[in-house]
Order: sequence, then C-alpha cells, then structure tokens
Amino acid sequence: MRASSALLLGAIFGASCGSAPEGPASDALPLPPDEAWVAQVVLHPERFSALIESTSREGWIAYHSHRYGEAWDRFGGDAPAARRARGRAAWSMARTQEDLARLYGETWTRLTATWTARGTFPASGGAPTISALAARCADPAIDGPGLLAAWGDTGVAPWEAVALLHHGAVGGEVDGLLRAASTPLAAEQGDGFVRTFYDPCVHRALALGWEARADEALAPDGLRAWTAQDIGLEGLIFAPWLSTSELTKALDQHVPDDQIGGTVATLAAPTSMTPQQLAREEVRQLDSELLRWRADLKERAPAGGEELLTQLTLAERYRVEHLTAAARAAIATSKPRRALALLELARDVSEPGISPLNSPSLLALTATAQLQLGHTREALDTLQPLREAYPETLGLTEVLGDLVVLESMNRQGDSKEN
Amino acid sequence: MSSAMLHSTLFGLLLSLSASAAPLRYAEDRAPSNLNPLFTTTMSEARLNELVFEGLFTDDTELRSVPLLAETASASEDKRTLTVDLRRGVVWHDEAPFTARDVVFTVEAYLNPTTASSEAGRLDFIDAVKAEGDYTVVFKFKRPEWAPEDKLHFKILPAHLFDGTTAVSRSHPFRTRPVGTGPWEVTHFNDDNSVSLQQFTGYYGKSQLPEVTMREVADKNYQAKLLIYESLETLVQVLPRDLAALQNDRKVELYPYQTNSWWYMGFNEGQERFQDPQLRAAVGELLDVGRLLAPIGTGDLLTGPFVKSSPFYNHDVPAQAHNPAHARSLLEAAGYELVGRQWMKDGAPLTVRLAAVENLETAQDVVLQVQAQLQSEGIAVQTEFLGNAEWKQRIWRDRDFDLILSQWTFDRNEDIYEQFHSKGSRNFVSYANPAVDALLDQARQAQDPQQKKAILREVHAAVAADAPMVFLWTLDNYSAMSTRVQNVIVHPFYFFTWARDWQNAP
Repeated sequence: MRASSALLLGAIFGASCGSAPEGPASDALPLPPDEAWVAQVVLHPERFSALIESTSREGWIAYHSHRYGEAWDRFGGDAPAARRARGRAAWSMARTQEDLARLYGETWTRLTATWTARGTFPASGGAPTISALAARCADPAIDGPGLLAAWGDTGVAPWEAVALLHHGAVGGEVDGLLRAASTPLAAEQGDGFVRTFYDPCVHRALALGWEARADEALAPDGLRAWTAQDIGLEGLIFAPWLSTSELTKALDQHVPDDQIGGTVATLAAPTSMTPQQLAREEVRQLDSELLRWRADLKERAPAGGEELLTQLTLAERYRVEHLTAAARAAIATSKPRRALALLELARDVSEPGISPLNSPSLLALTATAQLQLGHTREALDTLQPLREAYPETLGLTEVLGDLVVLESMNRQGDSKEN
Repeated sequence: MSSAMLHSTLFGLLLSLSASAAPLRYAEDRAPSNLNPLFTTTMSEARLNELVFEGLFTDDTELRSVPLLAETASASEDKRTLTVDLRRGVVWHDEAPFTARDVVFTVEAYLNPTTASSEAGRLDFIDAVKAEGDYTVVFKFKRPEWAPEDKLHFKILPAHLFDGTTAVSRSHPFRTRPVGTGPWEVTHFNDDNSVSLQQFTGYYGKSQLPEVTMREVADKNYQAKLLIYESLETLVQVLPRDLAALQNDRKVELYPYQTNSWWYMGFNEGQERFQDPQLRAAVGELLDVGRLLAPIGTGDLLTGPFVKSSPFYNHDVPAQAHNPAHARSLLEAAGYELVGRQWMKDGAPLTVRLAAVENLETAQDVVLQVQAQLQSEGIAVQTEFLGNAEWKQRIWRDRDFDLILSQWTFDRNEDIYEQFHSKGSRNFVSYANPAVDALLDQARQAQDPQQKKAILREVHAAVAADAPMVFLWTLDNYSAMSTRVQNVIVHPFYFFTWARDWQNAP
C-alpha cells in the first residue's frame, strides 16, 4: 500500500462524528506496503504455508470462521508460534465476550429502569438481587476479585455453586460456567408462569477467563509482549492491525486493546454531516483505497498468492476487522449512530449468520448500537445467529426480549400483508 | 489522498447536496390499491401513507413517541383521559385548515362498524373523543393508559372531504385521491399503477425530496437492474438471493429493513373439509418447505406465527418434518383413499384452489412449486393469481378461497391477535380455538413481560398444533438505495417515517 493510502486509512478511522476532534490527533500510521499481513500472505504464500505447518491448519480454519474456542483447543503445544496462535484465539474470544458483557450490562440497566418506571418491577424474589448483581457486572472495570465479591455480596446461599464456577472461569477454567449458563439462576412461580433469570455476569466472567488464557499463552507479558519480539504472521493474520509496527505504535499510545486497529487519528469533518452520513462517506473512501490495494496485490501475486487473496477473502477480512474495531471505539465514546453505520457497511449481508466476514463481535456491537438507539427489537434480531454458536447468550436474549416486550407494552400493534 | 483532500471531498459533497435535490423513485412489488388509511391492509399502502398522512404522534429515530400533529398532551391522574393540544397552522393538501374536528371525525370513522375499517382494532382502546374548540381534543379511554401517546399514531383524515358521515365506503374517491397533512401530496395515481407525489408547499415542516414516485415492479430481477442502471433510487425489499450482487455494486448501499415478516400457506377453515386437522397436517407434511424456499434464497424456516428472533417464538416446538408417508396415513385417517395417483373422498378427487397475489414473481414461483409437490402426491391444485382489488374482495371480505399463499408483516409488538383470535379482523382463514382466544386476551392484558412471553409462547405451541397454516419462513430483509440518497434512516416497519430528512443528490 502506498504511504498516502496509509495516511488516509489512519485519517478515516479516527474521524469523530461531530465537528471537533475529541482529542489530539495522532500521526497517521506509516504503513510499509508489504509489511501488512494481507500482503505477506499474498506476496509470500510460502510464509502462509509455513504458518499452517508450524501450528494447525484446523486451528486456523476455526479461527478464520470465528470459532475461537475450537481454535484454542487446536493450537496445542509449547512452540512460540503455537502459543501466539493460542493467544490470538483467546484474545479474540475475550473481545467477543467483552462485547457481549457490555450489551448484557446495558440491557439489564435499561430493563431495570424501564420496569421500575412502570411501577411493576418485582419487589420480591430474585429480581432485585439479580438486578443489583447485573449492575456490578456491567462495570467494565470489574476484575476477578471484584466479580467474586459481587457474588459474595448477594448472600444467596444456593448461588454459591455458581460463584464457584465464576471463580474457576476468571482463572481460565471456563467450561463449567459455559455448561451452567443455559440453566436459570432463579426460577420462581409467577401468576400462571415461571419467572426465570439467568446469570447476568456470565459474559463478564468469560471475558476475564479468556483474558487469563491469553495472558497464559503469551506469558510473561501478555499482549504487550508481542511487540517486544517477532510476532510472526500468526500474530497478525486476520487481525485489525496490519503490521507489527502498527500494533506497537497503538500499544505505545495506550490505545485500549480492544480498539487497536480502529482508532488511529482524528479528522475534522463538516459540522452539518450526520454521523451516519460521515461514516458512510468514510467507508466509501476506504473501499476505494482497498480496491486499488487489492488490485495491486493481485497483479504482483505469485502462483498461489492470488488464490489465497480470493479464497480467504483477505482484503475483505481486514476491512471488516478494521471497521469492527472502529465501531467498538465509537461505542466506547458514545457514538452509536456512527458505530451502527460502520457495522452495517461491514456486514456481509449475503451470509445471514456468523461467517468469516461476520464475526460474533460484529453482531454484538451492532446489537449494542441498536439498543443504545432505542431499536431494541432489531437488536434481538441481530443476535439471533449467535443462539446456536454461543448458547451462553440465552440469558442475554431472554433479558433483551423482556425489554422488548416492556417497551412495546403500551403500543397498539400493527400488521399488514406484504 | 490526504486528510485535507478528504475533508475537501466531504465538503464538496455537502455543497452538492445543498445546491439542488433530485426526486426519489422507489419500487414496490405490489402497488397500493387503496390509499385511504381506514382501509390499509398492505405494507405498500402503509409505506405510501407514511409520506402523505400524519398522526397525532409519531416515532422519533430512537422509536420514542413524539408529537407530530399534536403539540402537547396531558393525562389525567387516573390515566383514563388525555387532553391533546393540536399543532396550529397545519393545512391539508387542499389548503383547508387542520382542526380538532378532523381528529374526532377520524376516530369515529375508524370505529364506525359500518366503515368496517381494517384498522379499527388499533383504536379499540378509545371510549370517546370530543373537540374542545378548534385545537383541543379530549380522549377518554376504556382502561387506564400508561402511555397513550404510544397508541395515537394512527393517521388523521380530513373531515371536510367525507360529507359529514363517519360511515366511510371503501370505494370513496379518497382511495385514489388522498389528501393528508404530510410532506408530500399525491398528484397522480397512474394507469400503470405508479403513484406520483410532490413536495407539499404548504407543509409546516421541512422536507428535502421535491418529488417521490412509487413504481410497481413485480419482477425482482428487474427491480435490481433498474436500481443498478439508475432508473430507481430505492428498492424497498431485496430478496436474499440478490443481496450479494447489490452489496458488491459500489453505487448501491444496503440498509437493514428489519420487519418481522413471515410467509405462510393458510387453509380456509370456513370450509368444512379444512376443519379436519388431519387434512391440514397432511398437506403440511407433503410439502418440502426447504425446496420451496430455495429459489428465493436463504431464510429461517418457522414452526409457528412468530419470527425466530421474537421473544414470543417457542423454540421447543418441533419443526414440521417433510414426511409423505405419515401424510398419507393422515389422509387415510381423514377418509381419503388413493385411487390410482389421486386422493379421493366420497367419489370426488381431492382438489384445492391455491390463491396468491398476481404479478408477484416470488409468490408465483412458490405457488407453482407447491402445485408440483402436491400434485405429485395425488392432490390436484388449481392456481389462482388475483389482482389487488380482487384479493381484498375474495380473501378479506368474501373468504372465497381454499388455500392462500401470503405474508404477514408485524411491527415490534408482534401482536397476532387480529390473525388468530376468532374475532380478529385479519383472521380470514377463520381459525377458531377458544383456548387460543383466551390466551390472546390474557396476553393483551398482561403487564409483566415474562408473563406475556410465557402466554404467547403457549399460543405458538397451540397454533402450531392446530396447523391452521403451513408456516413457511422469514427472510432477512434489506432495502437497497443509490449512494446518492443521503441521510437515510429506515423505520423498521413504516420505512418512510423519517424520509423528510432524506436527500437525493442530483
């Protein structure tokens, strides 16, 4: 990629949706054209073959399809490349669970507020305690000890077994909690129905657990250690960061781990543009650049490289990872309209479910933006593909469903023939 | 390109948008046949009404109720009365002033049994309405209403055009010459079923599009070509099979249009033979629904009257299997006998008429597939493709059909009362189950979200067991727009609610 393209990429994805930059603009990333992982794979397919041979083909297939748990299992062994690959899988799963935890927390917050405002929030039973627990787990800064303290503070004896599972999960033993996540934490007889609530902290605990696994795989210094060594293609491929230098710079600038590759610089934009319009225009510009870059790589690719570019949809994958990270950054800075526009354009609509171009994080972030914009029913629709792949999201979808029903309870329904 | 250049590009784009504006042309599969909001039964009518008419309240972009023709509203302490002050200075498209009289007339017209409005159920919470002067309306409700503004979104009509009677006929000329207070007025209801609208110069607010044209284009392939070749700016709904091609076109952008919509094949239980659940179940089990869906693209197969993402969908209800052997045993149990290659009863062949809307390419494909599948199993199928007016007459009013293929689309309430309650205004399949009626009544009264979910999941299971319909599928819904159309936010049901802010750069 030309340096000017790199400048543009950097400029585009730091753009704020208002007129004023939110902070000091950082320098756009210098992007050596052939250092980018897309170029490495396409121009040097032998490096990709070596990566596959030194780690696990099945592991990378699983990772490419966002089956991070399976990838973690397959990247076995103590070789540095395998450990880094395992760290990538754990890191990606931690991001996904964090995205789900944020959504779960916001859903609970809104549910409690809406229900309380109606004056019908159950004053007895498990609801008040679970709501309080959910509020604790909604805090993104909560750590393992904090999470365990939150469980202890509930004082509910039957939940001690679940708290123990959380204890294991935050240390990296996530399987027990995963198995328990589909069972209600509380099931109480209501007026002709059984009221159920699921574990409101499950995604937070899983995020901490997978973070612990990433740290273990990348010991002793976790993600930061990557930049102190040759992170290899296994540290870059399918990532939102294109190169080691980009990752290093982002970490040096204290960009949060989950936003690396998504926030680089800021751009002053015309004030009268809506956040959606601006985001869409930026993505159009990005797409123009990527199209040129892709064509250039295709032209220079040796035998095998072009097939990898096409079959693994490498440029498209980078695009979607980058847009997802940018959207995550937008959500972190309370810009849901911008986030939603980026995510709508990132999504591969020809695939209805999770696919190499539609990550679970993309869906979770889309649902979060929709929730923040009041489009709660649409958020539920967005999450539907997660139901099978992530059965632990059952509690989240049930609570989101409760909110949908509450929000529409006053409405007079409308229906039409198509 | 440097960031400065990008800035300049963006600024240029803005300038071009503000310099002038171009019309918006959009495609519908099925043209509206009646633009009178009292008789809206299809999504294309509802979408067009959104451009022409207004309610007292509407949704803002975060789906909160905000005043539109209302200015302010105040509720009584017991929540049974709402006093609404109306917006001043609003005029109808014929320049007559909008007043409280219009609101009172509208409510009474919707609720007048002689009018037989298909929308009457949306106002059945209103006990009485009266005007106090020109700009104040007082509503009395049957029960306390927590947030009545959420229910006052129905479209307001001009009293002065209905000759003083609230018993409005479907054939009133208003059906093709509507007069609203909205940002666009209908100028022509054309012979080719297209509808032309122009910006209403007397509108109290702002809108950007100088003209809007609705074109009926039944062929989805043709719709996509018209968009790609810039003969249209908007496709309201794109089939899943066309999504990839449109997403790859750099002059087109896709917008989620997340309606809760499902396809079904409904039996007319008004006919004695279809009151036999074994016959209905047999027809369902003879069909390979996955094969029916294939020409349309991908979608979720359904087991009942909700889409899979619905909080009311009962995931414990098993999918109906394609099971011809079991279907044959059901037919035998229902008294049918296979004679040669034809099922017979009392000396007569088992023959059904299957109706669908004419010119709707996707429905036609499915109908022909159903015909082929059932005929290969010994059930003769006659297909009928009905025009819009004939459909409303034969299906909705006369209930003159055996089987229909159609689709229902729901707003976020997903209230299926009108379709499945024995008193429902959209229950033209004549389904009746007292237990389901009771559950639907309870669901409407439920104040606890989990209770409502539990009740409607029970309804799902009961309706699936009764099989008044073969529940088919739901599709991922996207609309497609030219990249020249800017500032687009699509309402998840009515589509055009926020079209006032849309711009189309020339």
